[in-house]
Amino acid sequence: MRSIQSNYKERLLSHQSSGPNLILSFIFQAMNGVANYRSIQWRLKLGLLRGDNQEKSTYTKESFLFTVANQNQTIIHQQRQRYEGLAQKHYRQSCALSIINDSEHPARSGPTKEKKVAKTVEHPARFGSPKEKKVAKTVVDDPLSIMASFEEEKLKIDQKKALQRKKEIAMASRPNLKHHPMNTDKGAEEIHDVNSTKWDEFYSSREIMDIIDKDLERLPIDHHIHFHQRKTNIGIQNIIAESDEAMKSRKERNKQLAEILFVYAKEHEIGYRQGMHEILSFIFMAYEIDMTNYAKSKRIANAEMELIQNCLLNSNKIIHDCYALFDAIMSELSIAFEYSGNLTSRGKVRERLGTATLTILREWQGDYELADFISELDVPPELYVTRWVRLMFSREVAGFENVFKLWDHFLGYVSQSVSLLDVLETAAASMIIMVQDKILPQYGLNNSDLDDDQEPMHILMNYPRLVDINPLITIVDRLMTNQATGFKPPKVQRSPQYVGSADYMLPNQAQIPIQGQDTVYFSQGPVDYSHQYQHNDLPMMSNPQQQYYQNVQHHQDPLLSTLKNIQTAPALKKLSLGLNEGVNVLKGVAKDALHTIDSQLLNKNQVSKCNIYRGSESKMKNQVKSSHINDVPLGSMNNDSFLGYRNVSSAPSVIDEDPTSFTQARESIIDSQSSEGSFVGVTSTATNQATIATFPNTIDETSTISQRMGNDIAVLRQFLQSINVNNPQVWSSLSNLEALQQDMRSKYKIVRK
Amino acid sequence: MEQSNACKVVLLGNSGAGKSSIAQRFVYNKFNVYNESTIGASFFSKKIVIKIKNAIESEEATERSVKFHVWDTAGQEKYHSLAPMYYRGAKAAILVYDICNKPSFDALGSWFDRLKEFGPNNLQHIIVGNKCDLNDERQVPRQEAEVYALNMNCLYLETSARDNINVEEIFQEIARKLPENAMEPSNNEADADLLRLDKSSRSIHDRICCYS
Repeated sequence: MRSIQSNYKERLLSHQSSGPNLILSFIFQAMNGVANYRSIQWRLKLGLLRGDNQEKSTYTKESFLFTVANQNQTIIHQQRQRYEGLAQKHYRQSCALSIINDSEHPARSGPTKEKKVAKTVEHPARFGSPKEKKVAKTVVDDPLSIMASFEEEKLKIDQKKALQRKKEIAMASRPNLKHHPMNTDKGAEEIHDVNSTKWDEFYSSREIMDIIDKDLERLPIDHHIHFHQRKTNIGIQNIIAESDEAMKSRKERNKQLAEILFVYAKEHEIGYRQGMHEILSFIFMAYEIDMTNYAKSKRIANAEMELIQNCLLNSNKIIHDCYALFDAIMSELSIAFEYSGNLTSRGKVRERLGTATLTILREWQGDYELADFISELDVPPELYVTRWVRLMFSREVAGFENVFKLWDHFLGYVSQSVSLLDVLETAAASMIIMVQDKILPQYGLNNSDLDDDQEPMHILMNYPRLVDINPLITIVDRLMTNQATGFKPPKVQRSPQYVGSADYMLPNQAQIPIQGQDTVYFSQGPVDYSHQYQHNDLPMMSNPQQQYYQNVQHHQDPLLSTLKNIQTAPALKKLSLGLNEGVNVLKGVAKDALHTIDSQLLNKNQVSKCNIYRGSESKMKNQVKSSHINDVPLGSMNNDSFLGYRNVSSAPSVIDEDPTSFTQARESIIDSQSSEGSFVGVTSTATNQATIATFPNTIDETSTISQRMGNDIAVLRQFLQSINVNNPQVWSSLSNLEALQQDMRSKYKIVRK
Repeated sequence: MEQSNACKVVLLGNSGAGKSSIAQRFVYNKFNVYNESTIGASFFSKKIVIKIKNAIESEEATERSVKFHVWDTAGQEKYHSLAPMYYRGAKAAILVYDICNKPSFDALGSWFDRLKEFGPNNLQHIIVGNKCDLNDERQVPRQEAEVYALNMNCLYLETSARDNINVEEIFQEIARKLPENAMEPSNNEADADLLRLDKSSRSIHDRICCYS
């Protein structure tokens, strides 16, 4: 939230006319930042936590957290107990532990020891030499080290095996790792049979552990950052350098992940499959981020906070809670990891992922041509769709924030009748729709003329990572709405002159008004957006605005294409949330501006502080100037000096993360003014007027901010009117925004005088 | 004289043996220390040019460019019902193991079994012992692997994707061996099927016939 505010402020200062797409983009940024505490939301959504009011769960407030924590104490306790039992059974007392006491490997033991061996397995404590006992004791709580200590013995066995294999190679043209009848010692084989299940289990556990470890080691490093930050509170920079400390914390995290994966693999028939580790790691990361955010929310410790931290975001129970969440997600997703042909979920037989995706393309997109084309490719859709679905598209989008946004969206659809897999298959169909222009054979162009990386197969197998996930979400929304309402769009007809365009961005249904649970969002029924953006229908506009709507007309702005599709209930809800956040952004900017002046006035005599401030201020101004000249996007600004500036200038301010209502926000501004010496009052004295004179630029800046913000809001209102939004929440948010801005302006007018 | 054709190659072997690293070294000439695990399979393509001494008209060397379609499979996908998809129409299989990981070498036998069951008949096999830069941690003696390869009647190479040792050579070897392999008359019905399915491999077939 903080960074969005500062970005927005910077934009306002550096651009002559910020234009509506800027404010919209900031609103959307803010909106996407709304999904705080997503680990809790996911658990609510998947039924792991009970929430009385589902509506509230879409917008987690901290007060809501308390209600959830309070309601779910027993449920959480049971979940944690359950995991504790499983971990005890599979992980802490895994078969490796009992087998380690069996000093006699079947291959070495004679038939006479058979009984003894069997007994040893059952009663590890009673048998074995003192040395073995010691081994068992030291490693009792860590199967990994059991395995490590067992490595030595395994090597010996391996050597034996190798010898045997050499014999086999000599005897048969084709080596076989199974027992060769001519080579096997009969006695040993008998023993092997007795103990083989135990040993098989041990080796299979070891194999699972090996592969889990290998996969976890290869997790991209940004998966570990939040864990490390939580542990040490040091910056990202240090992690990339992979200090010893970071390495240690990475290992620690991997150990926790490995435990969950191992227990899951042991508990479920499917076992461990590559890819699960990434799903789990994201879940873990969501939980970690939530913990960090909650800890940062600057609350005085009290009973409420304790309960929330105990029940919902407990660093000691992260393994337990993440297992429950992982288990719940995998109960749907594990089908995608299945090797065999027949897939069943919720009692019904499912189509294979690839087939299901094509069905969605045909039925709910109406694009038979595309589906047929895909199914006739050399590469069956199964190959790439499986990968997308298994990882829940996490490798298909850039940056973990995008992954989380996408998952929020996917899980948002999950309900009694819609399974996660349905949503993911729909998303897979959407992915194909997004590249249809690139893969459908273009007219006049022979497929064989194409470069390698333009071949459909290549595009689908090496799908470029999406930087902007909004187009994908738009299509998913549309297809999901079609499925929910049973609306089958007419067959897509491509004209012979079909050339790629952004047509797929446009909604092609919109024939029926979409109904929310109890609200019809569009009173005027079907909305034909193509007419909305005709020049003539729009009110007179200044040039940048006109340019903007021309962009709209030509579908050049991904943000706008999102907005154009806000006829779906969830999208509309998001917009109203976004506006609420927009209020917070503006509020934050305004508050910062006030604090800037306030703190200057208060620290007037503390020369050193002023100097620090001036130094960093001039630094920042230079950057702003250079961004003027070179037209460099502000995102590329040097963050460090900018943050430095912020830290000095807004040190006394209190971040109000809680998205309180507008009136509260206004009050809090007024409060903060009076508490730090009345802003208006101070400026009226002669000495302070002199002080202000030394900071004219700051005041100019703030007045610029308020002025341009006013423009933005006006344009936003026009835009919302033009798309016929009929949601009272959206409008009240907007008028709140306007009121706040006017408030700001009047204050600055006083200051100017 | 220049000829061009596409050649499908599959990389097989246990998880973590370095299949993706070999593919990336070959295609992009880069190496990541932490490579994400492959899920399902990934696909790359790259064209290389090789010179072949023409045995029949021994006058000049033929310049042949081969377009490789490299299918990099996930180590765990061995038993996936889709796995035969990866092998279908392949001209060569690169069986990769990690010289510092004995089980990955032991698993080669079962990979051969899978290939025998589902792979095309005239498949070229190459055994690759990867990570030879980590000689100190070696668990599989070179000699053992060589004996094994000899028995399996296939080429053995030790590579390092990290230090770029022998990676290009794998593909050079495959390309060099291509004509002999492809020229073998395929009476097998399944093979005919494969050729029909895979346009690119059909073109190899046609051209090889002209070439001989």
